[in-house]
Amino acid sequence: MTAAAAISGVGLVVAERDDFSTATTLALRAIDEACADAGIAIGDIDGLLLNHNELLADDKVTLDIGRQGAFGELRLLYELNAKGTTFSVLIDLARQAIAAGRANTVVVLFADAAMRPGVGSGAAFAAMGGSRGQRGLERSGGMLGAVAAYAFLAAHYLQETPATADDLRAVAVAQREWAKGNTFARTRTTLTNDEYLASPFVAEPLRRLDCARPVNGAAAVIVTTADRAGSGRHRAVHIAGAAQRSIERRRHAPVSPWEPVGAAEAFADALGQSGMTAADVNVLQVYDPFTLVPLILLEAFGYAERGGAGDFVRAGQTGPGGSIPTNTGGGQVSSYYLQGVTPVIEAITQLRGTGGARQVIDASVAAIAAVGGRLEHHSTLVLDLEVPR
Amino acid sequence: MKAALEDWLVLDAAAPSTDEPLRTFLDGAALGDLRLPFCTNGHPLDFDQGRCEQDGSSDPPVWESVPSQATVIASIVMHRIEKTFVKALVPYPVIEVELVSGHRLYVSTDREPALSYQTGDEVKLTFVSVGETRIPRIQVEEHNENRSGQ
Ligand SMILES: [Zn+2]
Ligand SMILES: [Zn+2]
Repeated sequence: MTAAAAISGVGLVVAERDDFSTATTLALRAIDEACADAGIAIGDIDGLLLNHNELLADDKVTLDIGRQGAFGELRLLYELNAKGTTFSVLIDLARQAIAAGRANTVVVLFADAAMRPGVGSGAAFAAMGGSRGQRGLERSGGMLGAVAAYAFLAAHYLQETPATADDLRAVAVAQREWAKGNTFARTRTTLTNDEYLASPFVAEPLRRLDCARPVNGAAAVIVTTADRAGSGRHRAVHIAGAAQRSIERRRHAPVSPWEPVGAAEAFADALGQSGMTAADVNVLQVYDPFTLVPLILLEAFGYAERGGAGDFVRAGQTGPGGSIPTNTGGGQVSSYYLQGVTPVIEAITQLRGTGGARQVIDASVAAIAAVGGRLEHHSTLVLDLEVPR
Repeated sequence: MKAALEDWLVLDAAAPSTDEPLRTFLDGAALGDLRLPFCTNGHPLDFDQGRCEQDGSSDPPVWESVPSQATVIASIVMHRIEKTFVKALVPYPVIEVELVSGHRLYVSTDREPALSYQTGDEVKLTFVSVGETRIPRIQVEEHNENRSGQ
C-alpha cells in the first residue's frame, strides 16, 4: 500500500449534557479543533467527507456544511453511508483520494445532535427503523431499536456457545477501568459487580450498562499528504490497511448464522495489506454498541476461543498490560458513543502517545474493527506509526 | 377466522406502513391469513427480496398462505417501555420464530404471557389490531398447552 497519506489532525467535541448546540455548530467546532491540531488553516481544506447519520433526528449536518462553514471551493464533497463502518471507510477513501491526487487535505466528519431537551436517547434510537418493511413489522411487535436486535444476537451467543451472562459484565468492567483514564468518558469510576447487576435490563439479556452511551457531539479527522502531515502538533499516523465485508442476513431458511460472518476476513485482509497479522496489533479498538460485540469479535479474530472471550477478558488480557489492550478509552459502552468515531479517535490517540493515564506503552500498530447494522457490515482499518511497508 | 383482539402491547403509532413490501402480507393479515413470499420454485424469500439466493430466480414473488405453526428460535424480554410506541405496563417478550414455511419473524404475544418462551417451543400465531392494520402475534393459550420446557 502506498504511503501517500497520513492522519495529521483530530478534533473531538463531546457536548456537555446541558449543551444542545446544533449538529452543525458541533461539527464546525470539531473542524476548528482538528485544524489547530494539524497546524493548518480552514483554507487548506480541499475535501470534506461527511458520515451519514442513521438517526431520524431533524437536526443533521448536510452537504450545506460546505457553505455554512465557508470552506470555499472544495475538490471533494460527499456524504456516505456504510452504517457503523462509515467513519473508518471514509478515512480510507480520503487516503485513496489523496493518493490519486484528487485532493490534498481532506476532513472526515461526523456530527450528531439527536438528543434534545427532555428527549432521551432511547426514544431517538427506538424510532430508527421506521414503519416500513421488515423493520416496520418488527416495531409493531414491540421490537424497538438496535438494543432489541443485539439482545437477540446476545441470546443466540449465550445459548449456542459456552459463554455466560457474566461475560457481558466482564467487558463492562474491563472497559470501565480503561475509561478512568479518558477525560472524554461519561463515567470514570470503578464498576463493581453489584453496580452492574443493579443496572436494569433494557432488552434482556442486555442491561443498561451493556449499552453504548450516546452523546451529542462531533469529530473531525484530517487526512493529508505524507509531507504535509509533519506540520501538526503530533506524530503523523499512517493508514496501513483497510478492508470491508458485507454479508446477507436473511430472515428465512436456510438460516443465516447470527455470528459476525465476514469480520475475520476484513480483519485479515486489512492487516495483510502491510504484511501483518493479528499478532502485530498493539491496540484493538472495537465498535461496541453493546458489550456483546467485543466478545464475539475477539473470538472471530482468533484472540479467544469460541465462547471463551469472557474468560479472556476476566484474565485481564484486554486490560492494561494484557496481550491485546482493547477499547482503551472505555469504548462506546463506558466513554461516549458517536457511531463509528469512538474507536477511530482512540486508535489515533494511542498511536500519538497522548493517552495519558490510559496510554499503552509503545503502541505503534492499531486495528479498528467497526460493525454496522445487525453485524452484516464489517470493516477493519489498520493504523501504523511507521510508514506502511 | 377469529376476531382480532384489541392490542395490549403497542400504540397505534407502532402500526406498520401498508406500503410495499408489506402490502400483500398486511392485506392477508387483515383477513386472518398469513401470506408470505416465495420464489417461483417455492423457496422462502424475505419481504423485500428481489432474487432467490438458492436458484437465482428474479421473477416477482409468489405470495402464499402458510400454516400458523412456528418454532421458537430465541427470545428476549423488553424492559424499557418506549412510550412513543408501547402501552404495556410490564416487561414484554419478543420472540424469534420460524414458521413451517421457513420464514422467520420477530413477534410478541397476543396477551401478557404467564410463562417465558423457550427455544424449541411450538407456538401458533394469531393476529391483533394495531392502528388500521392487523399483525401476527403468538397465541398465548396454545403456547401454554404445548410447552416443551419447564
Ligand atoms: Zn492534539
Ligand atoms: Zn428459489
